[in-house]
Amino acid sequence: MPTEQLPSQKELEEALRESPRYFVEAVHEYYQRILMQYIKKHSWGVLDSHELRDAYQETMMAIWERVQKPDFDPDRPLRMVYRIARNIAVTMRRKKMRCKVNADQEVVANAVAGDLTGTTVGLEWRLLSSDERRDFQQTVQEVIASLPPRQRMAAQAFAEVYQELREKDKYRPLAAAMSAISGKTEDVATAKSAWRFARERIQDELARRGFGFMKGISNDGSQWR
Amino acid sequence: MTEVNGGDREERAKEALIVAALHRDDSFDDNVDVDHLPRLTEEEETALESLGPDYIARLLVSDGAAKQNFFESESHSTVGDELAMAGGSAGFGLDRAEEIDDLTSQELEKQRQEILERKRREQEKDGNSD
Repeated sequence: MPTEQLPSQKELEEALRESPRYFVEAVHEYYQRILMQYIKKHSWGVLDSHELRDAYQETMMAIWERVQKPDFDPDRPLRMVYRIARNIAVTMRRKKMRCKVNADQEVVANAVAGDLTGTTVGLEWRLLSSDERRDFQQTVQEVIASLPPRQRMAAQAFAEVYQELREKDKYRPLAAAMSAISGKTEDVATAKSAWRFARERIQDELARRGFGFMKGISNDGSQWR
Repeated sequence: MTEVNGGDREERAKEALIVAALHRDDSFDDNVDVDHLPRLTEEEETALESLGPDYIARLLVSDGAAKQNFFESESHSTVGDELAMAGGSAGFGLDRAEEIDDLTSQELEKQRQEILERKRREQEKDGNSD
């Protein structure tokens, strides 16, 4: 469905004030495909089609439960819809990758911030505008989605066990996460190699799209690494 | 964490940005960029369509929301329709047992048995009156 034909946030808000049932019906009618895509995005494509549908159903049930609560605030209901969809996608993704379901996102964010501190890459990142950052993140997601299956799996597994990898400084958790996705035992050396290839492809594409610092190239074209 | 040299630190920073991009939470954004969401495969489209046109009605029934109206339209519905509403048919979208708690399961089963029993009695009655 073309984006311009979707009900606006305001219209959904009005539907919700009218009746929670009306709202849930509108979300399902107009946003079902977008929500499936959104869940796919946040589950990093590791869920199969049935799991994706299950995640959608869980999302709809959670929305229904939420909007019936007497203290529910109907302002900007799409935020609530996306929030629920994302949480369910992340939970199902982690279950599939056999990671700690309640792993704290804050911990990952802190680890990322720690790795950026005092680096040229971190400095270059801070100089990007919000649009450029969004473009960067979009590019990473697109490139990973287009990688060959093993490299894609390695990139997803790396991101999921990132904190653990940093703490242990070993690649065993990467192999374990890849094994969980593939259903086969993955050895550490090949897991590490698949991630290296994936990282190279991601960095190449980012550099090609103007983020040269991912290949150690500054904005003025000089090589610093 | 192990100490790393300058070059390795830059490499780690690049990896950190890749990780952060994947973990980015856009659900607080007012406008999710729907034009850049990943496309659904044919199989995923089919899975979504398999929910059926009455998915929301079934969802609400399974939650008990529409139970009070459950039998209001019984004179216009078929056994198949009613079983679907009660969650007993093969086409029931919420097909994962773990999602239906014990109480709901019991209620759905009770409704299903009531429908079957009532229809059986009606058929017997019709047969006798012929």
